[in-house]
Amino acid sequence: MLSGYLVTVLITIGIYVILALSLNLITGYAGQISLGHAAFMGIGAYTSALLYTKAGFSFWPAFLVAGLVAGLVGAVLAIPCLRVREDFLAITTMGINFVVEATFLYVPFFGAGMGIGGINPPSLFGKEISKPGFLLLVGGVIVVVILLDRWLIRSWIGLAWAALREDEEAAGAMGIDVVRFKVLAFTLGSAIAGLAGSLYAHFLTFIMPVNFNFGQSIVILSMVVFGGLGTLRGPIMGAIVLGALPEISRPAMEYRTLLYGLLLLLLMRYQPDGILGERSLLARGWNALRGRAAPMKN
Amino acid sequence: MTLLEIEHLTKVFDGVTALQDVTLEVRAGEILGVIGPNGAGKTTLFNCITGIFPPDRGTIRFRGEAIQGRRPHEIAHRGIARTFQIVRPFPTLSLTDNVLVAYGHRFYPRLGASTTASRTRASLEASHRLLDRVGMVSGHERQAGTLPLGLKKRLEIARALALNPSLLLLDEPSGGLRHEESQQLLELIRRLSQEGITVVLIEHNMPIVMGVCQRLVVLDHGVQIAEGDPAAIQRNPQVIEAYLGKGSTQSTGC
Repeated sequence: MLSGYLVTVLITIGIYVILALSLNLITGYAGQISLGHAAFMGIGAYTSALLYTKAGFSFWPAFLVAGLVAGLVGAVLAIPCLRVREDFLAITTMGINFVVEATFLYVPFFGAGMGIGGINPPSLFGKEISKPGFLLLVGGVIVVVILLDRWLIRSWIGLAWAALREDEEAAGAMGIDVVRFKVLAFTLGSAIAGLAGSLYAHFLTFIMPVNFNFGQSIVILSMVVFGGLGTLRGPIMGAIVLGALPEISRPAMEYRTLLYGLLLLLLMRYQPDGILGERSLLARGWNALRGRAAPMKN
Repeated sequence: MTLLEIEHLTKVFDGVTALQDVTLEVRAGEILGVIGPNGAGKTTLFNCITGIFPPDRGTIRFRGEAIQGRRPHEIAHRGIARTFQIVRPFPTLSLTDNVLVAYGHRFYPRLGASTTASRTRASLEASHRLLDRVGMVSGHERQAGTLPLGLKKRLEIARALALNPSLLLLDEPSGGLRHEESQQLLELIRRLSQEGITVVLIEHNMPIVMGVCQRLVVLDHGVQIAEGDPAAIQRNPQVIEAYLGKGSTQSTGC
């Protein structure tokens, strides 16, 4: 029987897996750097929390609307991101994060600094679901997201994103509407992050603006980069390892921001593809064992 | 029949006039060469046609439809394909995937179609055939970034052909190629022209220009200074002064 503590840790990791996969759509597949991803997690969380506490929604519709709203806002905020590249895109997305956090912090409707509490866990057939039940729910969402990812990668959308990532101008010349596919990536990635935010809110039962700040965005980004940007297995592995680390090691928890920052620096220098990325040490070693050349992007 | 009509095309960058009142036409089925010294505005011309940026003044008509100011993907959908002066295949994608990206132009515009699987038997076969067509018969799964320059250029042409273009714009396709590779390129261009594709070529390599172009347009400092068949252009004193006289002694493809 799984201990209550273990289940809690697994749920936390599970939510991070969803977040990492959602960011991977924007940054890994479509190649658009986003340093403000936690903003959409927050939008989803607050939407779900408000619908539940102020509008009497039950979890299930609140959860879906949270994803929808986060996706919509993602689509709208993608517009200022369209014409800027790389460095400027990084700054723009950072700015978005700060603005969204500030909105939650200073607008009384969102509960300001005190946040929102009393966000009860979901109920099924009138009974509040147990912790293991919630873990099952998170697991179910993860499975759906993975299936969606695989479908996207294998479709023309995935190919368009790959071209966009490699060379935006050449992609346009080959018939790809660059604007449309960028917005699509931001919309989907934000929507899924919103769903994760809703799960987060109903799991923690209270949320505060600081939960969705720039630091949180960096945590999510570290997981994606650590595991391997652009692959499916990478962000999952990154979320598991970096999600479990603060639970296993108290110093890691306290110095988390420092640790993740250092990790990002080291990764960029020695393994920019991430631990499980295509050209990483582990991936090449694995392929060498299996006797074949470097793999193509899956 | 006139395929492409350019009238009074003007493009200014920060005070520098890259194209000044350029008027020319491209006839269906021909191989047109655009030549001129460096900085003459040739690539800017291509960039205006393909929608990388809009012209400041003037019109570009393709099959009678005004296309100036349209975005690159819209131009590609209308059947105008291009290669780049500094070759830029998608580096970490395989050769097949590079061509597949362009082949997918039929699917990208519609949401439903774009969600279907990309690597179908039909699409993969089409990609392999296009690579064969430009003379690349093996190694289709290599990463494009690992190719030598000559093959990268051929890959770009295969990719452009995947758009099923009626007009192919080649920007200095022989740049950096050895003599033998240039000859193969000449053959390829001739073959494509025979298959009915109209080709416009920006080139510095005079043997290629004289060898394959049926008509030439000469630009110098953004202005069109001459137009006509290669023999006449070679004799044109203005052209000689602007370009051939000073440039022809330089190596034409090492």
